[in-house]
Amino acid sequence: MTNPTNVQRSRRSGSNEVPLQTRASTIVKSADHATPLEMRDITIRYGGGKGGAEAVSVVEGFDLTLHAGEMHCVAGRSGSGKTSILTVGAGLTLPTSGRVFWEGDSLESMGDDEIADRRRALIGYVDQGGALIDGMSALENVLLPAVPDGEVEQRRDMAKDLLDLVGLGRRMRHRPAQLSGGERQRVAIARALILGTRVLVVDEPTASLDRASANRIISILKDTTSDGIAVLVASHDHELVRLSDTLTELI
Amino acid sequence: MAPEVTESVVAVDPASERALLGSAGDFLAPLEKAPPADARNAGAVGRYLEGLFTSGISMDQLKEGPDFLGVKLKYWAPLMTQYQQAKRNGQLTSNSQAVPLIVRSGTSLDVKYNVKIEEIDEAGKVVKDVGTVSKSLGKDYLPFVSKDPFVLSWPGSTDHSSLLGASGNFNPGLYTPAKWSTDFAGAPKYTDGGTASNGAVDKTAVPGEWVTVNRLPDKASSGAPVDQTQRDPVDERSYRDNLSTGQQQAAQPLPMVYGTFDPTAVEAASGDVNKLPLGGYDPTPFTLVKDAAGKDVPAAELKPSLSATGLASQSAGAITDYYGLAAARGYKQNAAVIDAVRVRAKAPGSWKDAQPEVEKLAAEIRDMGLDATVVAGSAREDTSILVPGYSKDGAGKESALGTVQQSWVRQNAAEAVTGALSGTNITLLFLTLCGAALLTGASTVSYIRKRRSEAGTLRAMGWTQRRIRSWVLEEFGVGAVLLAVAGIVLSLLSWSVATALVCAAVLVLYCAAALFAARQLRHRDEIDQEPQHDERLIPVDSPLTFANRQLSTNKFNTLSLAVAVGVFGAAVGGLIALLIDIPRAAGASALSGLAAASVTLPSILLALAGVAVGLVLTLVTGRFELNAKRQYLGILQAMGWNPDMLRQVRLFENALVGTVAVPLGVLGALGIGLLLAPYAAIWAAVAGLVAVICWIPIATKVVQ
Repeated sequence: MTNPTNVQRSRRSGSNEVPLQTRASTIVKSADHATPLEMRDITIRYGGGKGGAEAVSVVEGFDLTLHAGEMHCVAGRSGSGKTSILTVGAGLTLPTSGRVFWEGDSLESMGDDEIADRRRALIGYVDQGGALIDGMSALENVLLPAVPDGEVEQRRDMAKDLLDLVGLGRRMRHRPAQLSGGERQRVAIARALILGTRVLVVDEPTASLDRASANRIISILKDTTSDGIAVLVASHDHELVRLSDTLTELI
Repeated sequence: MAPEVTESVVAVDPASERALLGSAGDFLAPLEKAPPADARNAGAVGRYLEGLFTSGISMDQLKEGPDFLGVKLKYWAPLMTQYQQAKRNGQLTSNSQAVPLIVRSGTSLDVKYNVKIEEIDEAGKVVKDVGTVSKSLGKDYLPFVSKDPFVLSWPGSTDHSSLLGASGNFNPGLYTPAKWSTDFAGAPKYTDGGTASNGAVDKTAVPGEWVTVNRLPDKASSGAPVDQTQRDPVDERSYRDNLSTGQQQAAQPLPMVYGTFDPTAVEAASGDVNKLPLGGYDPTPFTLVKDAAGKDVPAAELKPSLSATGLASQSAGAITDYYGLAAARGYKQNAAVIDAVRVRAKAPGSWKDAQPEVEKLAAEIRDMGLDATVVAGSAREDTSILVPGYSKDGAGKESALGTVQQSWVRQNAAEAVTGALSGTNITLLFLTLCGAALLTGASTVSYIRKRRSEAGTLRAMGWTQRRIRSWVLEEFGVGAVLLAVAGIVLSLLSWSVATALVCAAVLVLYCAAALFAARQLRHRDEIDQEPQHDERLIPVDSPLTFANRQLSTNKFNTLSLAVAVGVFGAAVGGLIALLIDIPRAAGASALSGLAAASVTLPSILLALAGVAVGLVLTLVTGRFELNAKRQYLGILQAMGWNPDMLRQVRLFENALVGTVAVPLGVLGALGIGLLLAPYAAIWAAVAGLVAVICWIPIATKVVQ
């Protein structure tokens, strides 16, 4: 049974930011490209393989042009395709049809290695729940994206500053099992920012968090946009929806 | 004037031998028609044939051969020649016997001899010295006969067969039948040395006297001096003793050639029976493997000796029946000359079923006052033999040949083989049980990990610990019932106490695992700990250090997997050791194909089961954190680690596990090899190493 999706867009003017302690915002780099992420006519279908299983259309005809410094929220009920859109936008999965552009370059023309290298430089992906590596401290988790380029030592101070920024300066040596859900989420955000990300892709950052923790996360995300970073977030958190610059609601 | 070549004589029962060889034994058909023992007087036979010629016989009949009791004696010429010579020389006595023979066509000897050609006139006077030609014995050589009087030919020649005189003349001309001798030689004599790794006992050949062969007599039978340039005499070392002869040494036996046989066809039909120690048509070859200084040399088969007492003997030149052999060795009755008989016993079923029947037959033969040795199920081993005093130079200084190898059949090995393989099976069974115990343990750990959160959820819903334990035991109970049923069925089918014990042991293991699992799924208080991150840990800055960190974080999983891979390597090593040992253990006999399959199949199946257990163990332990591994690989990918780096992480993880597993696998394989087949232990260790190394890329491919 197909699941046609009506996409609604709306732009919110003004915001009601939650105040938060922050460090100097020069830690993260400013965006270089006006539209770091663009998604055109994206359709995502699952199933329809052997055994006669009928294909399920999760998303149809999705368009998005994400500008530097803009926070775009993809909202919708569970199963509406929010995570699917995020993974396609981050280049982790391929759409059934449609095209994704990173800073004007289509992903179709790139090989796996090039996608990985570009993702590392451009996209900071934050999975639902944080998705940290057990057995490594918070600081080591933040430094993981720097390993492929061999810049672990060069970015160590920056990693510490980012953990300070997200309020975990005293928990650098703690392992994921010793952190709360909100703390893990903040470590994941810091990790996503370590390489000078220009697009943050965040999946349900406030799910399962208390209000105070959720507000803290939202504040961090909003803070990053002021440095020119584009944020694509999937959420049904009302506060996050309210504070987003643009919104797509999946039905 | 052919060179003196010593041929061995083999005696058979023609009817039984034909049954053994099938259609390839049809050459023995004429021998079955040989006259009975009391109708072989040489004088009577000679007089009968003389009577045919004097009464008139056509040229066609002469060509076909005169009829002799239903057999066309095609090769009558040498019989008549020897009869006349023996009569002339006074060697023919009233006791001389005609010996019916089927002779071998061709020879394996590479012998050359010279033939001097002279033109003679009607009076027999030499008018021209034509020359000397060298000829070789080859496939047309028949040791006791010539197909035709020699027809000499060389490039540019003409047929000089007329030199022989009229074809009806019985003068020898240029061909002389082989000289009969009653010097029958036994097997070479050896002294024993140390025991080699394959179980064979090293030998040293005992040199005897020097024997001069290929030498012409000083004078011909007519008394005229013989031209010695026709041959080159050689001295050969003897390694055998002559067997005793009978009383009738003066009774010159006469060959009565009934037909010929093609040695290639007989060898193909008889297979390995051809080289059995109890009697065959071809001796087991000696292969030179080391020179006199002990250095390895390219393997070269020794050529047979000219004398009967050399180390490497000629193949059977003639086949006769038992009465013929008795006559050749100067005995009246055949019983005194039969050294051994070859009895082929046919019994239904596997070797295990046939063995009692074969032993029963052997006992009946022993009751007749004869020795009986069971060859079926014996073991073949390459035995090294040092050969001293093999040759001498012009000054008479002797030198050894070196070391030769010969395939020996270890007699009376059936019991030892059965015992050895039973021991092998028990060892393999025990090792498989150990592997199954490890597998049960690994599966239990996996079960506990998966069910721990489920148990917590149930507890939160109000289930008591006792109820949770019952739930776990009920799940295991289903499996226990299935195992018990399978064990009972297997035990009944095999009707073996060992099978029942093994099944019971597995059931006990399973129940113990169930109780352990139930006990583990209980509430445990978790104490909040201080930061555990150790600054002494290697910083993560590459795929290798990441892999190392992941493995050291989950030490139990890592060690379990390494042990599993080591077990797998050890199992593969055990299988290889067994496969190498099969030819030695199963032996090579007329029953080798069937015997090898029936005796060794259970062992092979057990070894394969061990490998399968090892493989499943690696799969089970590998799955301990498969999902977690896939999850963090996904996280790394999301962070921008490219596919090559992710592959490196997987490869380094497996390589580090493999590094720990290598010594386990190699030592385990070595130990199993020493238990099963000591001389194959090194190969087992190599196989274990290769198995562990091969696991690394395969496991890397699996987890993606």
